[in-house]
Amino acid sequence: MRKFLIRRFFAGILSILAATAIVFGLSRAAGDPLLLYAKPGGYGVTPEQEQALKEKLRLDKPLIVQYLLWLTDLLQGDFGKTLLAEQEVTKVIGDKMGATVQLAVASWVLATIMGVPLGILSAVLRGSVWDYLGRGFALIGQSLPTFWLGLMMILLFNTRLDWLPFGTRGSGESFFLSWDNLRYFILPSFAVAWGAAAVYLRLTRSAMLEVLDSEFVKLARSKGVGGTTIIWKHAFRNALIPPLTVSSLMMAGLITGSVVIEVVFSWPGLGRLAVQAVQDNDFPILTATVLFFASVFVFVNFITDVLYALIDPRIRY
Amino acid sequence: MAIESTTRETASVQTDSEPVARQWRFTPAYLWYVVRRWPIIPAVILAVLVITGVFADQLAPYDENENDLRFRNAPPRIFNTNSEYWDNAADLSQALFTPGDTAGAIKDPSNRYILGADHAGRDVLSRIIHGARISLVVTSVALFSGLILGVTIGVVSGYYGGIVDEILMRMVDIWYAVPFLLLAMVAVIIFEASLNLIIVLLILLAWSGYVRNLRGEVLSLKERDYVASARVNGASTFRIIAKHLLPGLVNTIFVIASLRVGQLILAEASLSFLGAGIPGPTPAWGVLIADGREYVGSAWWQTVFPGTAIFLVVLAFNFLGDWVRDRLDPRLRQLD
Repeated sequence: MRKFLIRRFFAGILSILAATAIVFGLSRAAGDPLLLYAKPGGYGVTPEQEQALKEKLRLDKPLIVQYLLWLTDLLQGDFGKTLLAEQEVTKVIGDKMGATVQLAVASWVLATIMGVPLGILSAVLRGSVWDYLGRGFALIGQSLPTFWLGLMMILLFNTRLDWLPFGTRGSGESFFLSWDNLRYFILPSFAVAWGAAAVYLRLTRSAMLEVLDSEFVKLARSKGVGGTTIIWKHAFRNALIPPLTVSSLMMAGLITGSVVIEVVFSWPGLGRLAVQAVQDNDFPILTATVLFFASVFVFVNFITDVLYALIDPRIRY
Repeated sequence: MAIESTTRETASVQTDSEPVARQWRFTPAYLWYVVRRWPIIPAVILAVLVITGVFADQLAPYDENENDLRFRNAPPRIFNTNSEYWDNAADLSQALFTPGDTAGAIKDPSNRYILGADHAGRDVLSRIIHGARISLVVTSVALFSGLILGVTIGVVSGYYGGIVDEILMRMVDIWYAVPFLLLAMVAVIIFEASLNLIIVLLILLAWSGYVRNLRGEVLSLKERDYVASARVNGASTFRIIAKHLLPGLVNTIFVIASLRVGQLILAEASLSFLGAGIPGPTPAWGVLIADGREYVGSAWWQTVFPGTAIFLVVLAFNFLGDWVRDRLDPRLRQLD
């Protein structure tokens, strides 16, 4: 298992490197990379500044050297400065990171507590009304555009009914888990979570059905083990493996979803920052955001691999 | 229409085996049985999508970019609602323009702004109808190009094995770790948003789903006796792949493709919504929602109707994908 984890660790590092290579390649693919930082005839770029930029980007050196030096900068935490406000990119990202992580975690928790129990219910009561409701819930969740769901929830629960706020994430003065704070989370995290809950539901349901149909459950039944014990002790534990393995893939979905949802709800996080950066042509911010998300994704993937190997002793790599 | 005739055909076939329906063919219970067995409702939705996409110019009551600022944010006219607004509007246009000035009066008031107008006074219905065409073109081009790319890589990886397989599979792993939406935004900042760019991006999203499954299938198929005997008989690699392996993969390819369409439509809509997809004023559905976003409180029709269109189409594709999978390849149940 140790060998497997070491291999996965290096695969993760390779993935992050590949992400930097893709971003770097793209930035050099569009003709003059200087234009990414300063549009021709743009405001306030003096010849001296242009010269400084050229030196910073090391355009006189060969491409591979440019990439390696840039990578060294990144490893030292030097992501450059934002173009508009001329702040350190790392500081801007650090300021916004908390909001995004909070939203993603809230959505993930919500998706799990909606998806997994509904999936079990759906499998145990297969063919009943509950099963149809659960599957309908999943099918709708997978088909709704996240950003539109967010807008519709704003329309219904904020504009029409005036039940829940949106637009910021509260004053941050009150206690973290207080209603005053949490009510800002309800709409955005539900909008992100529905699609993820749908995936959890379908996976849990099919895994549960498979386990309930297996020989060892039949044996337990024939020995006279009660229904509840079978469901929770025999079936549930085994049925948890597929949902767990997709958790990392789900993280990608949550990140994508939260980028869009942050725009809809004016949530002060990384996703909104990235979209703003696209509109402002702020390349350094976008680079850093992409690399940050890629690293998070690789990290979560690695954790999942570890958990996977721990939970299912049958798996030997 | 085609859909109606197929419905009727299936109905008559089913009546032979259905004793309940013999007395009266269309009992509610029987109709429910047919609807549950065959994906009729999704098929109708998709037929409507294709027809509106192909005949958008003929079906749309107005040009998708023609605007009339007097009717900014005009409410929808369906079900004869909002008649007060529209009575006033008729008076307004009479008062503002001299009698006989047909250009200034409301053109054909019976079908103008059936689904309301957007913030620039453009007909929402016409824009949705033209949006169907864009959705159709973008999704189908991306789906088929991605399919060809993904199938090729999957088959090559499985068939050749060894170092080729290793390299290609690591590529897929790495690709899964890159946040697609953000990468698309990087591409947009560099190349400027355009229709071609979004198609390329969607192809890059579409290919990866096929590789792992097809590689696995090829690994088992290539060990079969009939492939071995083809090789002994001197068939070329290309012939073996095209004639002996691909036919066995068709079901899997079809299932994965049908489950993938919905995701592509959603990705396109999300990118367009973020301003990183199809540039406005092209009436892609995501663009319509982005345009109407600021007015969601005061003019809900600008976002509700295009969003419903996306939702119904993706729902239909997902439903159809599930149905196709259950029919063709129950082993892929774990896929989603």
